[in-house]
Amino acid sequence: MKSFILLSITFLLLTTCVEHHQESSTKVDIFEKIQDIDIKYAKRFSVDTTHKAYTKIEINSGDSKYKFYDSIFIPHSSNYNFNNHKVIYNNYKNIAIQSVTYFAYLEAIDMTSSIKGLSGFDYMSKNDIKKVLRKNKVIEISNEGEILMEKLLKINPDLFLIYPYELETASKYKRNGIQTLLVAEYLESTPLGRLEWIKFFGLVFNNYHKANAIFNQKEKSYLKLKQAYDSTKTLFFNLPFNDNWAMPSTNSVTVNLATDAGLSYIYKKETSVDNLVLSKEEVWEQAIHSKYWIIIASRPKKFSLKDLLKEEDIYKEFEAVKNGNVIFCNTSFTDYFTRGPVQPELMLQDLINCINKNDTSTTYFKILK
Amino acid sequence: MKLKNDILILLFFSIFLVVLGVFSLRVGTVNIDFSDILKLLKGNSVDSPSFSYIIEARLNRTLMAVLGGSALAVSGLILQVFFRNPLAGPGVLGISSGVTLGVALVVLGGFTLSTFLADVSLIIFGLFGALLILFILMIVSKYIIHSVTLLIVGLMLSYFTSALVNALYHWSDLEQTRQFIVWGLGSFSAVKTEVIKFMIPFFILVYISLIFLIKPLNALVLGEHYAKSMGINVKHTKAIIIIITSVLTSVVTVYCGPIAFIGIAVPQISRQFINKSNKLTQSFQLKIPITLLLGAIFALLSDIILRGGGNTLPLNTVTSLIGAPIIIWTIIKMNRAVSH
Repeated sequence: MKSFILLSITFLLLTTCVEHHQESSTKVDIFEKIQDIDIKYAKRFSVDTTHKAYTKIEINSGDSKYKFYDSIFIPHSSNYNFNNHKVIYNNYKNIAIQSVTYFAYLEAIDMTSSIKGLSGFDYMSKNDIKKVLRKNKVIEISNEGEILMEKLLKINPDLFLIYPYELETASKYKRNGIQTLLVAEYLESTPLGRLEWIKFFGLVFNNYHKANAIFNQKEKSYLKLKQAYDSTKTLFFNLPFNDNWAMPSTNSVTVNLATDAGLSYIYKKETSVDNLVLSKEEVWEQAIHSKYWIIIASRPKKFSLKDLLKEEDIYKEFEAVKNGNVIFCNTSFTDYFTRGPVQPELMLQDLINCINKNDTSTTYFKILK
Repeated sequence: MKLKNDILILLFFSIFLVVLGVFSLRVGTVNIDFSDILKLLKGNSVDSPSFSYIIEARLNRTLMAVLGGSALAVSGLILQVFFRNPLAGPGVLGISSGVTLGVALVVLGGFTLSTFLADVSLIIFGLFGALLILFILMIVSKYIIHSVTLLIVGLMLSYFTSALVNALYHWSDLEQTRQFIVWGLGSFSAVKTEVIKFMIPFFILVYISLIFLIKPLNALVLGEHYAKSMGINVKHTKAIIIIITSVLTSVVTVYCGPIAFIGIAVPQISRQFINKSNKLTQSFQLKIPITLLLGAIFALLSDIILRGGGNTLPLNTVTSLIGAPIIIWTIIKMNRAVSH
């Protein structure tokens, strides 16, 4: 009897050991070397083209409090031994993305059909994008922001593009045979810097020339639109959450976009890379005389100035309200999170139009009426 | 002499509450001089246009803390007599969770009443949630012997309603979720002047009506049979208790979010100030006003601590930090009493 139990346990132990599939092939795809890769604005990734055998893309945290680093190689020679380094493959057919903001870059370089899993359907507003994703049978891979490993494994992505703060869980994905790559576009401080990540996506998905062409055209439009800074056009941002009011960092894309529209941020002296968290009282006191108020928030579809004034009595005393200078972007009903990162020129045009009181054909921002 | 001492305690708490209330107008991230505060309270204007709104907001949250704290505390006191359990309270028994479910149905589920009642949908749904939980507790209490079991039932009801709220949360959109999260953090600051103007006379009326509960509560402390022998209509008394505690809890919770520990901890503190050797002061004639005052002080003090710390913590964190040790101490005391 004893030996029977012992045998049974041994059998169970042996059968319950699951062997994970590991990529054992050392064969790499070879790509043509692109020499003139110029990264002008983006600070969170760099491209090293100095080595003959490869181009190296590095993703770094820069001056961010949260430290991270990642790299991936584009092989140009089959003789080089890439060992355990991440290398780019020629044909990515299954991609999973952790942020809806990556969608815009992938859409721009015609990679939408490769997206098979996405985290954050709720953050997508327009039905046309959702329709495309549903047609491609893209599945939601997270619940309340947490990645569901089983769903991810079901897709078995060739590459999972993740937030830098997921770096610690990246090893978990690796153990399950999923290759990850950090994408830190949201940490860029300028709209053009964030747009320039299109080159990163172009390099990773072997469509650099298209990405570069898009960037050059958008950069040109953006720089043409850029307005001279006017210190009298004072500005503050957003709405409070409970008793606190988070103002974007001076080093953020949002603030730099507004500055490029000619506005002067009232908290521009605060140089922290983090958002500035103030009390409601402080903002009431400091922003009451600001000429402009930009609100980027999720609100009901027909949210109006009347609805805003219902939130706090003091708002009617705000100079921006009195002068009709409340500029609003409803993140629930615009593509702010999805296509916004690759359309800075459109956003800038919108802001300039709103400042000039002409918001009839704007995409992202409207004057709140 | 002993009675005189108790009246002095009552007077001391009243003066302390007034002083705390005045001090509360000074506490905030924007520094406003007393001279400006006085000018504004007299209806005069000051240099900064934002000051009048800041002081109005501080005054509203001070008044809401006073009303909310006293209401939750007195509800806890009454429920402790009703369920003959010193650990009973709107939060522990799941009544606040019932209100949360009601609020979630409106905010997350999109349930609303007809147009003319739309504005009060939250209160009606909240009240319905509170009453539902209280009725369930009343039915369950008939079948259980040990009073602690009732608390476990309350806890289970809280879990049950939380599960329903989580399900609603899952199906709701981002905007609804944001609203509900803000509400759930708990705050005395969300109440506007027009609501406060309605609340003050309403709460005063409810507190005055508590006078009619003094005799029945005094009798109920000694048990239902004793109360009946004293000629108390127990059925009516229970109905009044349910209505009063449900109304007070639901109005406060709807406007301020679920606030932990005030309802359970304050009656424990108030017992420490009541002279146990004097029959008159043992009566609810004194217990109720002391609990009302201490509830107001507890809530206002929590809110002042919160504001003094730059509003970085949710209100519930502060009330829990103060309230939880009091409850642990009460449980230890109860166990000691049993073992002796």
